[in-house]
Amino acid sequence: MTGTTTTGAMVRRDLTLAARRPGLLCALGLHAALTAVFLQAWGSAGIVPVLPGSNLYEQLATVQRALVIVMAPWMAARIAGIETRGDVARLSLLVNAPVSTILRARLIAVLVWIALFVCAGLPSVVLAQQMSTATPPEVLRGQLLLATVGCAAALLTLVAGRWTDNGIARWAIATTAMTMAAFMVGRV
Amino acid sequence: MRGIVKTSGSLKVLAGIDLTVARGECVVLSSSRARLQPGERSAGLQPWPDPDARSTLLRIAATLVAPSSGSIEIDGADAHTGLLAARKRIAFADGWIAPGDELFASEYLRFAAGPMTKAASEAAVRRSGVDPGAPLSSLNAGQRRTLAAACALASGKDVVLLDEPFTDASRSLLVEWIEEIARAGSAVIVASNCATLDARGFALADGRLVSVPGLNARTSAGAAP
Repeated sequence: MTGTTTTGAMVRRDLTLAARRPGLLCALGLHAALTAVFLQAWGSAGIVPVLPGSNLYEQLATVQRALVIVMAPWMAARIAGIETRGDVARLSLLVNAPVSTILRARLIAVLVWIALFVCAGLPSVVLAQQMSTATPPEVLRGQLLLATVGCAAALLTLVAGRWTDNGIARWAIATTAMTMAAFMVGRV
Repeated sequence: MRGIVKTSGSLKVLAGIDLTVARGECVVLSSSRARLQPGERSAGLQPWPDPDARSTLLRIAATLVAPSSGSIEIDGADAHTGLLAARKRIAFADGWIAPGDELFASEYLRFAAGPMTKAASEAAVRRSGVDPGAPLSSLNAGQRRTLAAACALASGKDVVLLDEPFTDASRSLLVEWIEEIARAGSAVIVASNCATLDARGFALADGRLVSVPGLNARTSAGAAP
């Protein structure tokens, strides 16, 4: 297999495995449901604490960023955590590809799932934009930022795989690091 | 393989293995414990934990393990210095299946053995006696071993290395398949006590290869390493 073919086969395999895992599909459903519930609850005074000076879309975007910081590492750990480091070496022999190709394919598969996760919230985002004073470019920027945060969190999870095979430990490392980064940047 | 030595602590697992396998040839590494005759034992060939040594030898040939000394060459090219080029030509199966139990057997074979049509992958899995539509999670250890061997055999590579590929259910199917790919030009090394392969036979004793002419009725008697 050539490098591109191998990467394609690896990505297809990882996406197929992920799609057959109920947990990952549930994560997409959870994002869609939580953002929809947030919109519903926001209309009922007193249920959702209102951030002063923020419109509905901005508050929803804040909730989404908090959610993606927790969920993106979890998804990455679920997708990338199927093999131990020893298994990756065997996989390298099996598909005749360097470990870097395997990791690249895994990263692509994770990023596709992050993109799907972001897309799962789009219906609520569009509604929130129409119910607030946010402009479409603002929304676009917000969603790109969300995807970027998700990708960074997923990347951290994959990097954490260099030190541990334990999925929970990978998730904890990436989530903690991203939460600290978010507070430092002042986004959350 | 030239002068392959592998040590583990003070134990010499392989003590200088020289073995050349030509295209279209099949070599069987058998268990000395099972095969050595009483006369051979008294001649100094002691039984020892050769299943581990055979596996080590195959893993070295597959470039998974580096030898302490010696070299592996495929058509004159050193396998350990040109690793990726060598691996393009090597298929290795020891029962290991890549994690991912949600895949079906035919999907796994298509992934592991290289690009092929869905029909071809299903036919290959069926040929090994495994249900192509069975999820990997439903396969028992023997079926997983058979599937791993089928992936190596279906890969069409020049060098096929099989470590204990047979189960009672798959033996006859895989033997026929192994002989077919050998006839097609692949060099095959099988670590097994299966006595039905048309192959040159060797055993490992004290870390060295010993020709076993009496391995089975179809063995080329007296062939040198």
